[in-house]
Amino acid sequence: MKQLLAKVVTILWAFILVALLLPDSNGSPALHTFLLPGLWWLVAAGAVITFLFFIVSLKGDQHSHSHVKSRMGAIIKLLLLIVPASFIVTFSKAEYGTDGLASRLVMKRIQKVAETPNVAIPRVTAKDSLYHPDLGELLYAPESFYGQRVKTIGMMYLDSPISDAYLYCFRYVMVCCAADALPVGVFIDKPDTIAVESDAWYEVEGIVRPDSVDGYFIIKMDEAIMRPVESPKNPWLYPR
Amino acid sequence: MSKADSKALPFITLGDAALAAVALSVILFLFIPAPLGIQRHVFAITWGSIFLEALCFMLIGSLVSGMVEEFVPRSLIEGLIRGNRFAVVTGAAAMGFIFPVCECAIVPVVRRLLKKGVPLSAGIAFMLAAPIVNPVVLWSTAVAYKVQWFVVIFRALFGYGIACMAAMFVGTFFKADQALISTVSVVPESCNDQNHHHEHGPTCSHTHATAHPAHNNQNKLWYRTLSSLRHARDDFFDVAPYLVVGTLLAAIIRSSIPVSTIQQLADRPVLSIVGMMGFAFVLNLCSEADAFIAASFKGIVVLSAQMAFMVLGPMLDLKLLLMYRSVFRKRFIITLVTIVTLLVLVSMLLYHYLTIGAAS
Repeated sequence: MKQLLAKVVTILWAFILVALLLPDSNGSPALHTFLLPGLWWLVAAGAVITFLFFIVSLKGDQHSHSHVKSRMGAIIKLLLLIVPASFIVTFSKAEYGTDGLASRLVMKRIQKVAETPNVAIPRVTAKDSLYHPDLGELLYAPESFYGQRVKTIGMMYLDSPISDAYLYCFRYVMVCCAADALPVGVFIDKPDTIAVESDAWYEVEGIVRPDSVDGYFIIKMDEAIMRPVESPKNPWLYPR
Repeated sequence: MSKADSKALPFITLGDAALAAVALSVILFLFIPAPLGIQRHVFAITWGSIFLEALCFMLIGSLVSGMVEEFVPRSLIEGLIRGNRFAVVTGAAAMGFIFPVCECAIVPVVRRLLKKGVPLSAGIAFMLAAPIVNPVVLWSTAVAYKVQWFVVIFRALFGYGIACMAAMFVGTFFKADQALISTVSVVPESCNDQNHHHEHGPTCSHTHATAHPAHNNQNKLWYRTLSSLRHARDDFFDVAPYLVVGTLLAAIIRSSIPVSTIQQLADRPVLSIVGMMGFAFVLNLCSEADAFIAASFKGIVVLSAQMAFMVLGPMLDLKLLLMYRSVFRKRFIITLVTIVTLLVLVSMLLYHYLTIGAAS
């Protein structure tokens, strides 16, 4: 039973790791939900190693050095390895959206707008290069865009983190894996006329300005024009 | 393990039952929307990403560990670690500057090195230093801090220094057999003989002549490779359950505690250092990415607090704490955790008060 289960676990993980690397109908691998695309080699290495573990398990291996303290111990520990697999498969196409925003947003306090803080956002590049600049480029060096009319794309958050008067248009920057993702975004005056949906993607065009609200430094887009767009193939921004 | 040995074991232990309960509860979570206010998909992506990355690094670590077991003779290790404890510890920690390993990959490697006879203090020095001082991590720190080299240099110095001091301390007060769990204890030299019999632990004993074809075919690369893969697989199965539970707890905390909590401590340097150390412990970030998170606290907390986050995290977090259980005894882990935490805290307080007024 234990040996059979060990074979099942190793081959299951080998298949899952390979499946994460394969592009779906949009051409985007499920790996992008969890990890930086540049880490494909890591997942490929994991797939090869788990496959090798499966092969050695098939080679008449009646002995294992794995240590257990009860008859059920080994089985429970092997079954435990299937649990994260079930989550990864079930949520391979999920997005953080606005639900993950509140626990990740870090706002910077300042005394006055003139003292623009050194915003520690990784220099990023978007996979969809249709819009220039993307939110990452805009917020990495916002001063170079002050006063300019720019167009960008992001997900909309209706309950602005600092004031009800604003919408928050944001994207997540992933450095290594989704767990370290940080939101970056701009604030937009809440329009009176257009109904904006939360969690939906919008193209926003407006003039970039620094501002402060209740002592928090923000980047605003004034005179904003918004229109809903399809979500990008890959919603993440990555360090360049 | 023979069938007779297996029958001598209890049906289930309390620890195994607890693991089963954890597994069942988590599976249930797949079907219950947002318990404890945690959104299921937020939790799933967070857990999936932490686990996936750590799993792959750990698989590579296990592979290296299997190769160490099969292809690195003990005489070579003994040759490399000659000298007094200070020289051995500082040398072992310095090895971290060369090897680009993160904290998840290093646990199975150190486990195997300790089993192979590497002194406890040297193993600890390498284990604590390598995830901080390796070139990939130092480069990512430089990028995150927009090439402020003093941040990179101080991170490396603190990581190296604290790893050496902690290793010297535990090496003085613990012998290997007091620190390591029975299954990791050093295998006697005589076990390198063929056709011997030895105990791997209370539940595992076997005759090598029949169990390892490799031992009877020492010159055949194929058999040694096969044996190395078997060792690697067993190491993986020994450590992986700890990784599952560790990353699970990390994901629950990551999904439920807002990062902005730390802002409430921003005005008090000592509290912000302690707070950022606490954050490093519960966020369980990979050392290759944590500098970006630390840098996002620029202008919010003092630099010494950001440094505390970057120095403590790769040495000690929730997931590592559970992974250490696959190598060390509880008493040793408690001592290691205490000494590392105190060293980081004291170093960062000194750093803060000696460099007060510097960029933060």
